[in-house]
Amino acid sequence: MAPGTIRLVRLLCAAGCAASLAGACGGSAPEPIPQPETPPDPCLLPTGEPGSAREVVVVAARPQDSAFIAPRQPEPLIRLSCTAAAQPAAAQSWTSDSAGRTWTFVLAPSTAPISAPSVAAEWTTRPEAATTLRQAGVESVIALDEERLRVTMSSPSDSVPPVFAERTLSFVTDSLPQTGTTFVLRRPESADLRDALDAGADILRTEDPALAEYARHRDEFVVHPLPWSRTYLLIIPGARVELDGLIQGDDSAGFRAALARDAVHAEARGAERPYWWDGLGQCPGSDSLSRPRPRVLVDSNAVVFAAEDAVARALAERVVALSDNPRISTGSIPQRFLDPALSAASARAYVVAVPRTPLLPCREIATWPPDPRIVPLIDVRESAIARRGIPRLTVDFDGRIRPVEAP
Amino acid sequence: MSFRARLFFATCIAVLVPLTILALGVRREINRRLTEESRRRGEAAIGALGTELARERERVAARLGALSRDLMADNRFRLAAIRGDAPSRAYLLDWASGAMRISGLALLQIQDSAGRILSSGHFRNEYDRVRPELPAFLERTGDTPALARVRTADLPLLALVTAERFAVAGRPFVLVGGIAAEDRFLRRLDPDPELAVALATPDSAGVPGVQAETVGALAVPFLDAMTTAIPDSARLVVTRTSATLAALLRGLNAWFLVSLAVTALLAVALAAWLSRRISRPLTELAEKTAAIDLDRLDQDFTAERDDEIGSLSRLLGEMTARLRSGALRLREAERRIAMGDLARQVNHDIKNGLVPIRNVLRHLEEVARDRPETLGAVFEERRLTLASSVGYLDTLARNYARLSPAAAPEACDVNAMVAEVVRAVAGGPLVRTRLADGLPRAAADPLMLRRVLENLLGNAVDSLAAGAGEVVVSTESAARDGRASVVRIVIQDSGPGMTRAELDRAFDDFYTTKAGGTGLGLSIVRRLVLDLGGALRIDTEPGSGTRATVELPAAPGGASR
Repeated sequence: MAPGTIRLVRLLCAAGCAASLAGACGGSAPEPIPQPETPPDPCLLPTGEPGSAREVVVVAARPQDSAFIAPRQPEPLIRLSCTAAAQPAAAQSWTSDSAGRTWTFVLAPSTAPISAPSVAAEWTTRPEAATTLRQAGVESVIALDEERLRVTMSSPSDSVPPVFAERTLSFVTDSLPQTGTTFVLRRPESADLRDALDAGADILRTEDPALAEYARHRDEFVVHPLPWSRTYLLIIPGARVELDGLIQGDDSAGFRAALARDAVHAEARGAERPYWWDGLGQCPGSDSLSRPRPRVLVDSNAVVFAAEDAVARALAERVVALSDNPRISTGSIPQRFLDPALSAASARAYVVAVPRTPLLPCREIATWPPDPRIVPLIDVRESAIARRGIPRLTVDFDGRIRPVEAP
Repeated sequence: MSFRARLFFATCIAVLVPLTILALGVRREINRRLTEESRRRGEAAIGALGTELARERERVAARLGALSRDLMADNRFRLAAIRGDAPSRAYLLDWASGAMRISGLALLQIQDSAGRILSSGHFRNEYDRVRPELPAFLERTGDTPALARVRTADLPLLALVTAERFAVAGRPFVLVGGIAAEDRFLRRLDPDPELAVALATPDSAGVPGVQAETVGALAVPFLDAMTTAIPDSARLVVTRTSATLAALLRGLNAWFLVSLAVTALLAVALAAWLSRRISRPLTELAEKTAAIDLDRLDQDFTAERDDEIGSLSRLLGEMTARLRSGALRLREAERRIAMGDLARQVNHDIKNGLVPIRNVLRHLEEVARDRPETLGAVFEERRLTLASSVGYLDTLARNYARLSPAAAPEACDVNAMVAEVVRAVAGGPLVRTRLADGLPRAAADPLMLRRVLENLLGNAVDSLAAGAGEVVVSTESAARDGRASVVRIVIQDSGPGMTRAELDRAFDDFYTTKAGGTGLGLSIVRRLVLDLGGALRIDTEPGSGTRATVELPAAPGGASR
């Protein structure tokens, strides 16, 4: 459904509700119709006025932070807001057939010289894109003309499949944001990010509650919780049935909430349903997925986690603490080795973080061991700390921060 | 084996054997003392170990006391632990981690009266687990230092632990703390760097290294909170690393070997020097003694030494003097005997020469008596016989006249004399001269010297077969025995030389190997040279020619031309 269509439905609904309320009161002088309160946009950072051009200093404490403010980002067909609502990006509109399997995208003029035939050719020839399409169940990609691209899926969908917001299906266009806002990337000079705030940073993202708490005590900053973005799982390789006793506590909501409250230093909650991996079924082409198989040596009694991930470390420690087996301990490995280690399934268990709502679920489970026991632990989210007065910003589904264009 | 070699080896043995025995003895004694010292230090270390362990426990207890006082005054702890205040719970969970870092402990835990962990520093996320074993164990051990192995998220932690009990709002709590009992801790306990302290828990030997020798052990209460949770006992084992002692001994041996080698070299050098120094005078005496014969009794055995060698040298000198005196007497006796022989020979020869004359005279007497008219003819007939006999006698007289000239020494120009004699034999075999410049004049009778040169040069020239080969006459100045200057004349021929037997008889009168020789040449030469106060030496070997050396005393004054 096109965004324009959604807005039209909302306006009609609002008008209908107002008319019915007026009819129910009858006779009396018409009172001013109360305007429905527009719910605050959860994706909008309440900073300054939209469109006010300014140079914004962004602190990138982690490698992935710099990707969110690159001036020339690869543009996907659609963009997902922080609430996973589809928004136009390279495609200005889209429609589907009645079955919901064939989707036709109309490219925006700003994507020139990118054309629909060149997009179809690139998707089918670039290995990374082709793999994504295969995992997403895309059966065909056809350019109807220079502007229209028709994609046929193997399974129907009520809404536009989010995979078209995937990074691997993006392409670089010549267009640049017209807001005039310039992002200046700055590396923090110390590990304590409070120093960066005090040194004049305008915006940074963090999952550290202590840092958010510090910013809340500073009037010049706005602390805006971002969507729940990651879910931590305990993955126990299926062949190790004796490991069912690894967690002595139950896997109830109370248990997960306690984990979120006490075990980690992050804004967390107990992992909440729905779990996207439940009932995922057979992934298309999963048999042909090339799983990385480098040899990664881990202790067979270890609960393995990525060394760079403090939340995963805390969860692994709690899992070990809850086990009565004294031989079980934690084992950290670099993040880049986590997928190979998980695929090898030689450890007792793994604490891994997955997207709360993945664009491509089959890709997320590609390195999981066969028939694992999955224990959801917690959901975590980050907070955006922004200086009041900077141009109004919005947050995408993937955490990218964009200036809000002037109306 | 020569005396010098024997002396050398004897010196070496005399020096090296005692030195080696001394080195081995010293090494053994040092080894024994090192071992004994190490044992004493080990025993002392056991005592110090217990003291240091108790001191470490006291330090931990002091820190726990301070922390417990802070907790009792801590409102947030009170809110979380007593009232269950949710916002303060995170503070409580993280309290032990921060306190552990600040206090320098490796293990810190708060438990309530039921053994439930309220906060843990070494294993932050073991909160709410019930582990009463460790506080109970520490209550039993009291003030005795105790060790415990506890669980952490990754590796087990072995720690020296103690507990501090306190109460808040009437509710009891226990604070368990400790420091890691790892290698650094054990090294800190070790009062002696030469020793090593190892921890032996019930499930491990704990004694490191095959080269370690146990000196002693200290029992310490131990709890393995990870497995059995049954109080047991661990041992702090003090070992002496034999590697250290072995290294020390290796160094000692190395230095001993080096010093032994150096000493051996010095001993060898000393032995060589001593043997050379001791044997050299003997060698010189032997050489001088070997040079003594009746014709050469002028060896100088004067010695300044006052030792046995000096005495021997002086004895040899006295003996040589007696020999010289005896030789003079013998020579005189020989002379007299020779004169007798000569007289008899002269008598015989004259008789031989006179017999034809007597016969001719008797014949002429008979002719004059019986046939006077033929006397002229007969005389003419027998005149040749008379002339021949007279010639023979004349020759005989001239030969004998050469035997005993009267010496009249004067300063003779030896080079001029040699040149003149050599000119006299010109036209025969090749005779070359190498005359030294500035040669001193010799104190000699010119006639006697000429006869000496003529005889020796004649013998040399006659020794050359058919004119082949050459004769070299050389002169030089030399010092005899380092004192008086002499003029040396050497006549070297390339003739057949002589055997030892021939040389032994060469000086005998009338011994000759030449056809027509008188056998008086060398005999006369020897007497003439001795009469001139000189020396004559003949060096010869068959096939190597003959070398005649005449040494005459130099005359005081100028040199030859």
